[in-house]
Amino acid sequence: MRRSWRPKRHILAAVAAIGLTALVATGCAAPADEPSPSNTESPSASGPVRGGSLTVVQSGAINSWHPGAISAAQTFQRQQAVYDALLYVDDDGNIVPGIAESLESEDGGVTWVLTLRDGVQFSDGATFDAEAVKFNYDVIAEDGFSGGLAQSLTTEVIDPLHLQITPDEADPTLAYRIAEALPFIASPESLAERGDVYNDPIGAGPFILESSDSQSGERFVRNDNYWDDGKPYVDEFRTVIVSDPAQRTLTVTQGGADSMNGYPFWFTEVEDNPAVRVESMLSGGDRMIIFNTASGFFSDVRARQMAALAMNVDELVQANLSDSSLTGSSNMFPDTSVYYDTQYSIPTNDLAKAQELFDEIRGDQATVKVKLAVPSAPENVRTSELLQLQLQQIEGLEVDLVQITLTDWRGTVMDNDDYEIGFYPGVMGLNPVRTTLPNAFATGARENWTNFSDPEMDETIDRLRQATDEAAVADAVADVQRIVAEQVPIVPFAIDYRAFLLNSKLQDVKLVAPYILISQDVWIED
Amino acid sequence: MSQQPPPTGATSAPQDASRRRSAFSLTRAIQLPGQQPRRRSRHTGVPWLAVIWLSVLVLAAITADWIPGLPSYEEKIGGFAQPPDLSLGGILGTDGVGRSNLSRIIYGARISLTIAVVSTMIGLTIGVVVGMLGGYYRRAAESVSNVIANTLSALPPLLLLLALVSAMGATLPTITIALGIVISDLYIRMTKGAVISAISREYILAARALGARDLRLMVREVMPNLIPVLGSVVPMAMAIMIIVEGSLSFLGFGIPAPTPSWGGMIAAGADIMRTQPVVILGPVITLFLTVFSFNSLGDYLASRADGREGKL
Amino acid sequence: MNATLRAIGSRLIYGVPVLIIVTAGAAALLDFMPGSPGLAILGDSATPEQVARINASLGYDLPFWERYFNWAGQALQGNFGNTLFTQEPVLEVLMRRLGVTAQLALMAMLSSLIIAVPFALLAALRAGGILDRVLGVIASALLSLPSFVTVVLLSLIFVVAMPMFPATGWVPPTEDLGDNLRHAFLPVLALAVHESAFFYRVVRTDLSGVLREDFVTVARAKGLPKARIMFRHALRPSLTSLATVMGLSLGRMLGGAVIVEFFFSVPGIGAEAVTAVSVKDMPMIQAIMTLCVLVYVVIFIIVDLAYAWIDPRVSVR
Repeated sequence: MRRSWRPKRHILAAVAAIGLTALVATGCAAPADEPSPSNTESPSASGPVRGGSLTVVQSGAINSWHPGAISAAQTFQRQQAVYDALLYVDDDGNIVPGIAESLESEDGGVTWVLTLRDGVQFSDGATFDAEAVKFNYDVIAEDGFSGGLAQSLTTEVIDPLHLQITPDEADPTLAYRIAEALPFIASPESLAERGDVYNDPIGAGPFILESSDSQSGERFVRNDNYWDDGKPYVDEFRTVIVSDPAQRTLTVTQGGADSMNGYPFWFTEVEDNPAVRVESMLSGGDRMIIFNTASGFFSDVRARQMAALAMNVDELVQANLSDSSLTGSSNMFPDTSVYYDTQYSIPTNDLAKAQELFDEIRGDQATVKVKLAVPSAPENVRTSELLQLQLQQIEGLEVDLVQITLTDWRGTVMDNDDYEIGFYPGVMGLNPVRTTLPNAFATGARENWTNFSDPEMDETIDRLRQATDEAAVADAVADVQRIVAEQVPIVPFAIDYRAFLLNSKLQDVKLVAPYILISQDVWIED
Repeated sequence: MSQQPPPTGATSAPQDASRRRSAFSLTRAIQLPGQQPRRRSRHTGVPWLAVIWLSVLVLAAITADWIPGLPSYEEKIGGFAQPPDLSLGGILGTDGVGRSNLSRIIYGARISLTIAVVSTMIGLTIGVVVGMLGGYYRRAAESVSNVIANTLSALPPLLLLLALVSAMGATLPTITIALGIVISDLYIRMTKGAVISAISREYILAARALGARDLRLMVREVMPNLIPVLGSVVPMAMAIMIIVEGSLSFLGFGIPAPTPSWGGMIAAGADIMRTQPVVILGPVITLFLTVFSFNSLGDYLASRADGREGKL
Repeated sequence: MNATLRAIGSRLIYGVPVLIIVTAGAAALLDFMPGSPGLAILGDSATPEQVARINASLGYDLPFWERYFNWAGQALQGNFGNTLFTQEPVLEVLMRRLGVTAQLALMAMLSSLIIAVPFALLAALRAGGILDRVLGVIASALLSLPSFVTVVLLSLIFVVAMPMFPATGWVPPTEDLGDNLRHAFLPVLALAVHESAFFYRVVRTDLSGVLREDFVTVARAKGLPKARIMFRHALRPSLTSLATVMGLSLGRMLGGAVIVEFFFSVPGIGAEAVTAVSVKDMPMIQAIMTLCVLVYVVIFIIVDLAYAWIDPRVSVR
């Protein structure tokens, strides 16, 4: 009647054995990862060394491999590996040639000529020539990418190495705009077969995509046919996806990856760790508060001025970056910039004046409620909560926080205009001013979050784009700042610097817009 | 995070097994002549620390507005992430914005406890109604209640919550309702099991034969039997609710700012916790103590409920 | 055997309405979520016409019922569609994720059993003693730790303080078994901390109940040593609860150890589910839900069968 126990006991014993072995095996496995070793032929004190693996941390998966899809730095880094960019914008705001030789205009921006290199091939054998570029731009325009840029260009093949590009309006800054939104060219044959989604990217870049997974990242291998002989130096380029920011830092310091980008305050405690180093991107941008100038409470300029007067920018930046030693600034430019002028700082920190303005506007309303749109990342949320407290010092003003996920931010704020005042989750770049300022303030422009539309501003921006020398540029920039200080569509509260946390063994790391490194130039020291 | 509370005996296994479980209880209930009555409970002592902690917490949450010297949870009392000092507001330091941690923890208790209580009530309502109908009328009604319970428990709770909150938006009411829905399958099963064993008793059968109305029977005779069974499980389920709300906040889908909630405070400090641990230490310890207290209380109630059942 | 087959059959049949409700519910939920797949793919700068075009080609503009029936028809033939961004077959991706989560779940369950059962037996041997009480408190405490706190603590201990294990990431066992185990250690430990406390309590409670049964008293009266009674006579009836709880636990972990996978960047089902919900990847969400229901049904069938095998008094209904 009682069943025999033996099978049960044996099963238990076997299970115990397997389990214990597993536990022991994990403990006995090799000690913690060392930073990527380089299996090089000959270690040399000077000069790049070939071999090794470069791993970059990303915060999420890539949205699209389409050459026209530029949505975020993380997409850009992966596309750069596969396509290489026609042109790059470096830290100082200069155009640097990439896979193209040059993009120049002889007639002040009316027509441009793109000059390509000879003998460049895509990894499927197709030739990288002017026809290929034209085909790409046509497809990008047709598929709706590049933010309207491709649609505004007319291209004509002059000869296999030269393409004429004519923007619909004369634009001396086209090189920057192409570097920003149309730098990637895919193999026309593969692009032609793209279907609904282009997910098998073939480019002429330093690496070839071998595998891609939305949770584990990508693996790229060296393109031996890359046009720049000898490069890339590393054998393989990988991305790993880590969602939690603190874990990202830990992954790099531990050797699980070689590079990540983020805010400098994430790296303060690992600065002394010899396995890593921190490099800042010199060109800054603005962290700022934005207003919806077209509708709602803040369409009145006095309301915007009032909000600025209620703010304390020092406190905002300190909470944002968790560093009590920082000081904020309501000026668009850093004090090291040639365009900096204190008279253009937006007035802040005067509660009495703010209350006065508010009483003027409110009429006989007892309380006014406004919506503050907040992108939900911890540092943004706490800064917004602080902003809410600062604004609510104004008697009669109530501020409601509306949290929006980063993926929904663009759709809700930009496209639906569903906000009155918002905490801008990114950075308004200041480099180069000839594209970033128009992008932000021209009527209907790509990054014009505030719906700002002012004839004087539009006219100033035209002058800025047409400017032919530094003096004219400086003059136009000064006027832009003046109008911003008067109209207050935004309130910058700090200059933003990003930093890269890098494995100490990485050499020749060139950081370019938008917060990526040039993958073919990097080599790993022995 | 456990989907069902740790079982302590007869009322723990899913509905399929509840009938078998009664076989065990019967065996244990029979006593041989001359033997001491069995004590089933192992933890005989009332968990005083748990009761005290929870009482203090509830008291503080209710009287928060009137505590002298306690700053508002929205008020900036100093720089961000200040270490604890001697003032009442600053006794646990400040958070990433500069607000009092103590104040936010106390007001956060309101939110967490409200969520726990209201979602439990929603879950209980759904659970008792569906379970009662299923257990009383059997056959078709029981199948329907099975399907409902299985549907809810087939999906991992966190995923179900993510989907619901993503669609309904993350506000206090939606999160509470979603949590109530998610936990209701537990109550459905427990209720149904208890109802089934209750209605097989002779006095119920007799009453039905005599023509007593169903609703009256359900409310007056069957329902009281549910109370010890459900009561032993409620504290632990509440603990689960509090934890799950925290997990939602950790993933970014929780109660939006600036309303304080423990999970939200921990999530908000996630990026600076290594450099400034004071920001999350308070909510973490409070969360732990509260959940632990609920669990201890639940253990105690469960052991008492089992004891009663064993005595026939 | 007939009764068993009938029982299995009835469980499977029970699963069908559940499956329909769950997947239809997910399809309906999509209508309430903000944004659209087209917007997610094309991103910021696309025109509304282009967004609409992608939505149409993905069948997103159809009414809820049509969408659902299309999906169901395809799914019954084994085609679960393609993922949103990279248009990979959902089934392939899901199987990869399932493999990872299955490895974590199984390792966690094994480790939890190995830890919990012996301790429970030891504690029951001296019921009421110091070990028993201490272990009871520890188990309660571990159960009161939310998983998002557990992962942070484990990381602080094993990655920051004593750099023994990688902070994040995953290496498939086919690529490098040693590396795979190293990456699996912390996630498995995080899961096992909770599960072993759970198992401990279940076994301990059941043991204390069983030990009061008549047949145990008889065995003691016969003079059998305590340890022998524990193993041969007491453990087996206690296993019935444990079997159920193991089933629940496995189902729960397979459904996604969400927090653990999120924190340690393990490419499992939990992590995939979070991403799928954030970007509204409907084919993936539907597939995950289907998988969860199937897993649930299968596990309960197995648990019921195991129940019957362990306890001869019980027959499968």
